[in-house]
Amino acid sequence: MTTLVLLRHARTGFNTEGRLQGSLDVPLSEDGIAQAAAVAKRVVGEYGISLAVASSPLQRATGTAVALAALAGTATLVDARFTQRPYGVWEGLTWDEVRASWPFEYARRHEGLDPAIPGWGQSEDVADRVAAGLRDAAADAARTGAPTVVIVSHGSAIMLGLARLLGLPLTPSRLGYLPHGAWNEVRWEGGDDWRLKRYCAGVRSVETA
Amino acid sequence: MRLILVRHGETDWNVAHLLQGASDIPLNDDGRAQARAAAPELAYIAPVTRIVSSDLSRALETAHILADAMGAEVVTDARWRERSYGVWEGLPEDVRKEDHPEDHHRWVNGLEPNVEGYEYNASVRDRALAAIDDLAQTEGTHVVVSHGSTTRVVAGALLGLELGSHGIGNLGNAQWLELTREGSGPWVLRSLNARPLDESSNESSYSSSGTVEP
Repeated sequence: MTTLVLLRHARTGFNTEGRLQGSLDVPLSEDGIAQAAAVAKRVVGEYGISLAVASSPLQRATGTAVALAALAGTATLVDARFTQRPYGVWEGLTWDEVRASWPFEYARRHEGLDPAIPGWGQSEDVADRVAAGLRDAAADAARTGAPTVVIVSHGSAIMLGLARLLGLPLTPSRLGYLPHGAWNEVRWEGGDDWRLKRYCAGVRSVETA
Repeated sequence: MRLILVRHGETDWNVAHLLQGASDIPLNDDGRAQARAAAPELAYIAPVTRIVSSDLSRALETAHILADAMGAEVVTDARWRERSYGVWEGLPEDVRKEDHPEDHHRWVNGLEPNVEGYEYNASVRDRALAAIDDLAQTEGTHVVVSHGSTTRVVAGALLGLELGSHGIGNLGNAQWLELTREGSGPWVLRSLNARPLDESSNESSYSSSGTVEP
C-alpha cells in the first residue's frame, strides 16, 4: 500500500493575472514562494517528514517541491511526465483574450472538452503520460518502502492523471477545481486498485474567512 | 445542485472495528467532539437552513450538533441509513472469518458477502439516489448526514464508477464529500475528506477503513 499526495504548485505572477501557462516556465511569485513554505508546513503537519518528493520540471513546481523537500530532509526527483498540459497558442493569454479570438474553441473548453487549437495537449495523451508517472512512482515507493510520495504537479495534469487511475471519464472532468497549494491523496493497493482518499485538501476556508 | 454528504462522528464500535450497519450505536464523546469541531467549517461552506439525516442515532446526533452551529433544522430520511450488514453486525473480523469463511473471502476481495440480512450495493445505491432525486426538487445546497458505506456507494454511482468500486474512498468520521451538478450535466467531485487530519479525528477509522469496509 502506497500513498501518493498530488500537490498543485503555488502561485505565479501569471496565475495572479489569470494568464494561461501550460508549458511556459513561469517561476513562483514572491507571494507564491511564501505560499509554498506554508504549504510545505501543512503537508508535513499532516503526513510527517517521512516523505519522498517528486516534481514536474517546471519552475513553479520545483520551487514548491524544494520547500517541502527541505523540510523533509530529502531531495526532489524531477520527472517530466508530471509537467503541465501544453496550451498551445493560448499560452500567455488571459481567458478573456482567448474568448475574444477563439469564441468557438473557448466554448468547447468551457464545456470541459478539448479545443481544436494548434499545440493543445489532448486530454487522453496527458492522462496517459501522468498516470504512467504516478504508477511508476507508486511502484518505486512500494519497492523502497517510502510510505508517502508527494508529487508536485499542475491543475490539469493532476486532474487527468488521477481520473485515469480511478477510471473516471476525462472530458468533461468529473473532478473539480484544485486551488494552488491544495492536494489530493490517492492510495495504491496493488494492480489497478487505486483509491481516492482525499480531494482538495489543504484549503483552510474558515481561517481565511 | 450542490450536495454535501457528511459521515457521522466516531462511535465505540468504530474504534473497535466492528461493523455497525443498521445497529443503532450512539456517538462516543470523541465523536461528539469531532462533530463540534467540524461545525464551524461546515457552517462556513454550507450555511443551510435544513440538514437531512439518517435516522440512526450516530448520524442524527451528529446532524443536530452541526445544525445547532448554524441554526438549521434537522429532518430524518431513513433512505440515508447505513447498509445493513445483517448477521455480521457487531462481530469482530476473526469471528466473521471463522463463521463465514467463503463470504469473508469474497469480502476481502471486494465482492459482496451473501450473509443473512446483508443489503447489497444496488439496494443501497437505489435508495440513496431516490433520496437525492427528491432533494434535487429544490435548487441550491443540500447537507446530508449519513454513513461510510452508503456515502461511498452513492458517490461512486453519481461519478459513474462501477457499482461496488472503491475508487472513492470511505469518509472519515465527521468528514464530508462535496459534489456539484450544473443542470443535467455530470456530477463533479469537489472535495473528499478535505478537513485537516489531526489528533482529535479518528485516524484509525479513516486510514484503515479498507479493512473495516472493503
